[in-house]
Parts: sequence; C-alpha cells; structure tokens
Amino acid sequence: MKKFLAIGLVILCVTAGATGWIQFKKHRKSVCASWVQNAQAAEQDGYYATAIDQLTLYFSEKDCRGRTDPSAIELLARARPFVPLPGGGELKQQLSLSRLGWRLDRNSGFQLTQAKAALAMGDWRSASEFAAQSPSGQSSLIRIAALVRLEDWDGVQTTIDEMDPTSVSSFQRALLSELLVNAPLQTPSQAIRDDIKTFARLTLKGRGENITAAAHNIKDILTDEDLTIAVALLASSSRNEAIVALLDQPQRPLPNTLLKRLAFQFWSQKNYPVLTGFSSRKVHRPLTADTLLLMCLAERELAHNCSIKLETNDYSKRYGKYSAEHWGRLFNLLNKSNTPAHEIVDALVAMEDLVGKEPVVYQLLATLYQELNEPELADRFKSAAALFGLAPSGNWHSSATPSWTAQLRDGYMPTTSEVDALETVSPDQSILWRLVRSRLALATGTDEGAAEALRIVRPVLGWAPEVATAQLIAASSTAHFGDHEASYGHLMNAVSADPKSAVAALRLSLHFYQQNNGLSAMELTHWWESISRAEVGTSDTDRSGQKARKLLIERALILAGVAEEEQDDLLAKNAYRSILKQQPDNHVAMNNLAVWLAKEKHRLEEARKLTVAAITLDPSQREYQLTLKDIDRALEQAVES
Amino acid sequence: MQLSLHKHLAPVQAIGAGLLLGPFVLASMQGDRWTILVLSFLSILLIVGNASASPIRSNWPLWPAALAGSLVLAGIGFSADKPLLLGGVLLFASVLLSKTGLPRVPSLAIVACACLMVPLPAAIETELAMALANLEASLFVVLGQALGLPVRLFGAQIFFDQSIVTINQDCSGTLLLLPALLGATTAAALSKHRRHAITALVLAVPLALLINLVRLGVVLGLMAGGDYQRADQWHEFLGFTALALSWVLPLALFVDFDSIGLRSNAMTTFARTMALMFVGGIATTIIHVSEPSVEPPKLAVPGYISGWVAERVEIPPAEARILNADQVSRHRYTFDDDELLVTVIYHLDPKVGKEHSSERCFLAMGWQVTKQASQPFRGSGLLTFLDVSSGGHWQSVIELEIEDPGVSGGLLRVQLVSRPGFTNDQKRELISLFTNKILGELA
Repeated sequence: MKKFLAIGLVILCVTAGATGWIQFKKHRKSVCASWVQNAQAAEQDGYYATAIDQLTLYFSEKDCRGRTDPSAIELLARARPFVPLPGGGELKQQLSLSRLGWRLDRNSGFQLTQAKAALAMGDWRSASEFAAQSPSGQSSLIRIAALVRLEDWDGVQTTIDEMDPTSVSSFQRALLSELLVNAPLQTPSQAIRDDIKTFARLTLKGRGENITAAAHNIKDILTDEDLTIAVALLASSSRNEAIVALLDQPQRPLPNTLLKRLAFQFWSQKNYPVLTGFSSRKVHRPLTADTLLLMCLAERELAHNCSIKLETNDYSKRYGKYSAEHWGRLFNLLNKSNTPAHEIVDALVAMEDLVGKEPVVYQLLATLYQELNEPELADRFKSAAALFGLAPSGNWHSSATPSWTAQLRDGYMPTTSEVDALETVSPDQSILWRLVRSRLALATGTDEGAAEALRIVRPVLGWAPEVATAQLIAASSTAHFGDHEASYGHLMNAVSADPKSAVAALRLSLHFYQQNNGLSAMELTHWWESISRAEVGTSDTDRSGQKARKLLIERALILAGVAEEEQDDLLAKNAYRSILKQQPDNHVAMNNLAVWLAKEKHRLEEARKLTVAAITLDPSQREYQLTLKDIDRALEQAVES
Repeated sequence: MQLSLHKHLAPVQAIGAGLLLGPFVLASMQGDRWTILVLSFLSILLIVGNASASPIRSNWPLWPAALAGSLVLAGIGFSADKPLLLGGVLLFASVLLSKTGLPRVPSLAIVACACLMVPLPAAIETELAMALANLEASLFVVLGQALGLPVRLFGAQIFFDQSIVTINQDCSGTLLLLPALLGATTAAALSKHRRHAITALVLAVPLALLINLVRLGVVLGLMAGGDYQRADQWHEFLGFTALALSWVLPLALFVDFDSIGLRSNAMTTFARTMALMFVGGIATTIIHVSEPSVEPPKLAVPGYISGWVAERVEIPPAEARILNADQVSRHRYTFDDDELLVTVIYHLDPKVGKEHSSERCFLAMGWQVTKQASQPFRGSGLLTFLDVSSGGHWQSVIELEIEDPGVSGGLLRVQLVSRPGFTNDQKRELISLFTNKILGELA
C-alpha cells in the first residue's frame, strides 16, 4: 500500500510539474507578446525610449522570438534614431538593424531606410538599388535623384513610367517636372495647379521676388512631406523669409522638425516675442528640447529670465534618459538668471553629441567664451556660428574672470590660490586655467609635475593648436621624460603658430640640452636651425633667403658663444659647422673650428686645412697664424710619437 | 598503530595540528573567514558536548589520523598549502575522536565540520559563485517579469529600467553555503531522528539560497532605486545576519534546544585539545613572524611612455584587501582620446599570486568574460587576452603574468585595460612598453 501511495505521489508531482512548466511557458509567450504590443503603442504615441525598453526586454528573453522577428526589428529601427546614444551611434544602429531586418525578411521598409542612408552618404548607385526594392513614392523620388546624379536617363525614364502618380503629391510631381525639364526624357503631361508649378519652379531656382508670396499662397495645400522638401530647398538658397511664410501656421500641427526650423528662423531674425509665444501653437507632440532652448533664450533676451521647464520624466520616456538628463540639466541652469558662464559651457560641452550640430549652440559658446576671455575658443565657435548667419551676442549670463588673467599672456605667474580661484570660474574646456595650472605643475621639476602638466595641457593642443604657450609647455614636459622627438614637434608647432615664440623655443631647447637628458649637440644645432627657419617662414630647401641666412648665422653664433663659455667641444664644432654651412667663407668660424678640431689628433690635418683657408681669406689676422703654428707643432709631435 | 598509542600521542597530534593551522587561523582572523572558523569550532563543540560517549569498538578513529599524515606528506612533497591545512584539521578531529570515543555519526559530523574550515581552491570558489549568481539573477528576473517589472537578464546582471545591478561573488551567497552546511551537519549529529538528520542535510543548500535571495531582494531594491550608499550598508549588515541565520536555522528546525547540554568531560577534552593547538599555533606563528622578511622590490611605473601620460589612481581598500599583494599600484595613462588602466601587482609568494587573475577577478565582479588567447612572453611570462563586458560596456584586457622576474622570486602581474578595438599585436606592444620599463628597473 505504501509503495502504491509513493508511486502515486511521484506521478502526481511529475504531472503537476509538467502542467506548471507548460503554463509557465504559455505565460512567458504572453509576456513576450505584451512587450511587442506595448512597444508598438509607445512608438505610435512618440514614446520612443519606452518602445526601445520594451523591445529590449523582448530581445533579451530566450522565450520570445527576439532577434529573428523582423516586425520587432523594424519597430526598433523606426524608434532608434529618436533616442540619442552617448557618442551619437543611434543612426548607425538604425542602419545595422535595417540590414539585419532585410536579411530576415525582404520587407521594403528596410530598403527605404538603407536608400536614405546611401543617398545621405552620396552613394548614388547603392541608393538607386535600395530604392528600387521599395515601391513607395518616396523611394521612387530617391531613385530618380540618384539616377539623375548618375546620368542614367534610361533608368530615370523607367522609374517615372513605373511610378504610381497617386503615391506622390502635386508639389512633388511639379518639382520632378521642373527638375527634369531639360533632361532627355518623356514625362507624362500632368494636370497640376499653376500656383504649385510656380512655387516649385521658384523653390528649385532659389530666387524670385515673389517667392515669399507664392509660399504664403500655397502653404495650406502642401503636405508635411512637401513642406520638408520645400524648406530644405529654400534653406540651401537662404530664402529664410519664404521658409517663415511656409511654416508660420499657428493652427496647423506641424512635425517637430519643421517647428524647430521655424523657431530657428525667428531666433536668427531676433523675433523674440513671437518665439516666446511658441508654446501656444498647435502641435502633434510636445516640442523637442532644441526648440524649447530657443524659446528659453528668447525669454532671457527679453526679460533676463527663462521660465521654460523640461518635463524630464516624460522626455526620458520619449527620447531616453541620456537626452533627458542633459537637457534637463541645461534648462535648470538657464532657469536661474545668475548661472555662471562656465557652468553653462560645461553643460553644453558635456552634451556635445546631442547639440553638436545646433547653430545656436555655436553662437552660445562663442558668446560665453568671449566673456570668459578665451579668444581662441570663442573664434572657433564664432566661425561655425557665422556659417548660419549668427554672431555672438546676447545678455543672458554672468561671468567673473579674475582681472589678472589679462596679464597671463605677458608672462604673469599667478599663485596657487589664484589658479584655484580661476579654475573654479572656468569651464573644463578652457585654455587659461590649463595653461597656468600646467605651468605651475611643470615648475615643480618632478616626474609627477611634468606628467600632470602634459595631461592638463594636452586637450588645449587639440582645441586650439595655435596657442604657442601650450605647445611650449608640452615640449618642456615631453623633454623632461626624454621624448625629444615629441618635444621637437611641439616646439616647431609653437613657432609655426606664432613666430614670436621662436626665442622662447630656442631658450627651452638649450635648456633641454643643458639638462643632459639625451639631447645631443648635433640635434640641438639642427633644432636651432629649423626653429629659426620656421620663424622667418622658409623651408629647409630654400637656401637663397638672405634674411633666413643672416638669422641662422646669428643663432649659430649664439650657440657657439655658449659652447665657448662652457667649453663644450661638441656643441662648438656643430655650431661653427652650422655657420660655415650658411657662409662657407666665414674665416672666423674656420679658425675657431680648427682650434677645436686640433684638440683631437686624428683631426689635425682637417684643422690645418681650415686654418690655411682662413689665412688665405684674411692674411692680416695674426691669431690665425698662431693657430697654424700650434697645429704644425702638434702634427710634428704626433709624427715623433 | 594501536588505538591506545594513538590516544597517548594525542597531545603531540594536537600540537601538530596547531603548527599546521596557526598561520592560516591568524590570516583568517584578519580577513573575512573568521566567521566560518568560529562557526566550525562552535559546531564541533556542540557535537562533542552533546553526543553520548560509547566504548570504542574499532580502530576507525585512526583513519583521520592516517589520512592527515598522508596529506601532510603530500603537502610537504608538492609544496601545496591545501593538503597541509586539510591534514591539520583532520589531526584536530582525530584527537577529539580518540579522546571522546564518540559513535560513528557524530564522529563523521566532526570530521565534516573540520574539513569545512578549509577554503575551497579559488578557481572552484569562483566557478561556484558564478553558477549561484547566475541562478539567483535568473530567479529574480523571472519573478520580476511575472510581476510586470521591466527587468531583464544578462549573465549575472539584472537590468532594471535603466539601472544595472550585478550579482557578484560577494553577493552570490557562496559563503552562506558553509555556515548552512555546518549548521545542517550539527543538526544531523544532534537530532534524535534519522529522518530529521537527512532532511536537515538535504535542505541546507536550498535554505542558504532562500536566505540569500531575501538578502539580495533588499539590496537590489535599494540599488535599483539608486541608493547605493544605503545598499552598501545593508549589504554588509545583512551579510552577517544571513551568515548567522544560515547556521542557526537548521538547528532551530531540527534540534530540540532543551536537550542541548554540554558534557563536562567532553568540554574538558575539547578545551585541552584547543589549548594544545593554541600552543602549536603560537609556536608556528612565532616561527612564521620571525622569518627574515623579504622586501618586495620597488616597482617603478613610468610617468610617461611613448606619449602615454600617467596619473596615479587609488585602489579601493576592499580591492587591495582581496589582492593581498606585497606591492600594488594603478595608473591611468592617457594619450589624446585614448585611455589605458595599468595595474601592477607583485606577490612575493608566487602561490598567493597565482590565486589571482584578471579572468577570475572580472568574473567575481559579475562581468562577462571571453578569453581570446594566451601566449608565452619572454620565456617564463604568460600573456592572456580577454574581452570583458558589463552592462553593455566592453573593455579589452591584457594581462602579463611573469614568475621570478629577477630579484626576489615573486610573481609580477601587469594588467592593462583598454577600450576594445586594439589588435592583439598592438596590445602586446603596449604591455611590452610598460613591462620593459618595470622589468628594467627590477633588474
């Protein structure tokens, strides 16, 4: 009986276990399905980050179909570009997802993404091939654009013939007709309104007095896609007023990309009152942070105060935590009227991959760096902003750089506490504090100090290689560790950037030599020649420049003087040879070189030849005769011994 | 050997056990394992004090002594620590058994408790910890997903929303298995019914896992909420609580506490054995301490090398304690946008050094590790190339292990961590640069 009970119990346990396992698997499948459904719903509502999170759960779970599910991959590829990644890898990911999706399922949606990417990269052949796989109107336009660049008129003709006329709008057809008007093609006659035709023609030409009026007349009948194409064409010909005429439709919910373009137009026109009222416009989805930034700055321009706040929780669900955190931090800083300039710079630099292509950010950074007494960095951003017609301006921040920083470039050596004070009011990406901090570190003369100096100053070499002081500090640091090749490169960079730094470079190189840290006399002489040549801007092969020759002789004489004083025979010989290279008839150098050579028995003959040549050039010099006597005597002794 | 002779030699054996175990006990008291030692001795005391003595009917208590002797000989012959330690604990058990004349079950329990004092080899412990961590992480994820939480699994890492929590070796509960087994063994020895004894032994590991899961639940909850400081505090506190609970729970479930009492003669035997062991331990510790200490060589880590500039990085105290190195330093090297983390570790005793490796260390921290290649380096050196990842963050690791690098016969380990993307040849060249400098200084 006990046995039967035991067997029964075992069977019961196995059955219960198996049933439980089957139920568990069923439950897992339903969880998988719910993740995809949640992702679809989130993506449709513009919650791209949530969609990606749900799909990540789906892909990470072995029980789900995961990476072999093309519909989930397509969804992820759609959401991916909206959620920026650190380092800006979101577009690359979208492309890889599209490739993976296409391999799994020949869905034309994947090809359209690849066609767009190929078109953006200028790979016309691939763009036309990818677009050919997709039947949509957009694909046909991409294919035509690529084939026109390839001048494949047969291909264009075939694409036009096969194109479904209902898949593209009247404006797009008008644009196509205008674009191909002179091409050897037979385009079907199409009934398109005259005002659309006129606007398409003007848009393509990018000129015409009445383009703004034409835009104003047809803005209501253009689709969002038409508007995007028209705005891109108008922007390339700088018809900003026409862009505003097209997009300024407060009652029409435009896509965020177009609203951002409109906001930028208002910002560049300094139309701050309109920009501050932007939030009252109808929108598909909440405005993106880049548009809000323009509104916030406009508020600060008008009232020194920004009230725009970013709903970071919602933003995080839409565009990801990375984007929400950075933008949230920037808005928090801008919400305070007295935020120091360096904090805003730090915030902007930290989100470089999010705002790296925003003209207004170039403008902000140029303005802030100007205030922070960082002209090199200000110029860098000023020229980038100027490409978009923006100049540093505005009165929306405060900065407090110590007054002594003005004297820094004249060699003022601040105290440690002064440098600390400067560092606290400087952004991380700044030059001044890095220069003074690294100079202080270098002055310690220790390995740690030299390493610290190089570490601090190195970023400056990337941001502003033209700052000669930074190059000189780097040269000193690398020379400290005996890396003379790197040191030479930095010295040459310094002189190329600022010829006035040549004297400092020469002094430094002499100092490196005197430290006896592996730099030879021959190298030093070569360095002095190269630095002096760089100072006057002549190349090594240009030996005809009188100015350069004179300078090289002067510099070699200085080296020779140092060598004579320190009784450094190697340096002396190299210095005199350097003089003779520039001026072969310099009898003083000949005699002096002979004196040094005569100290070596195997060089006596060479020394004698030089002295005889010096006497021939100037027989009146008694000193040369004495040198010859000494050499002859030494030769006799050598023969005797 | 006759049992009577064995009994007469018991004091010598106890002192011998002390000699063998002295340095180990001292090191354990300074580290994390003191709790295991205390619980082991406590378990043995409870078993000795409660088991009823019976006249010895066989020579079987001689077997632990014989085994101990063999292990000691093997340990000396192969210069291996573990057999010596096992020999020491078996000698200790053998003395107790010969003096108390316990029946077979409590005797076996005493031998088991004594053996549990000896730590497992590091590689086995890491493997066990990883298996436990993976199991626990999977359980958490399944449970979380059933509750509708957005949690997912990658190895032993749990991704919750955008936070990542790793179950590493510390959290895996490997250390809880020992007190659980000690408690269960004690309960089995003290229990009046065989059924209870078997149940206690069978449930030991599941109970330890359950206790650890509760502990992890609290810690992970705090970490997922971003409160890392509090999570750290609770991690330590709950660790000790779980340790004690794992030992106590089998006793509480399967032993009648009222029946526990310590027999005075058994107590005396235990105390005498411990005292003799203490004498042996003191002697060996004095010998150990008075040995002329070998100064570790000064490792000169370059401040600058071929464009790479160094910055000293502090090694966290917990990590330094685990490394237990005679010399250790870490530097961050930068060159343009590239960064390398170079850690130089020197162990005077190569055996201690061999217990550590980058692969084991990253695995213990809960990282995913892929071993790419191993190749010899300048004769006695060994280069290991690893790819490691945690939370979607990839790193490349190259490690050089070189024994007897020139001066004091120790083991030098240079670990270089970089971004992925360097080829093996580039990494080899980099590590050669650093090692040339360090070895140049050592020579």
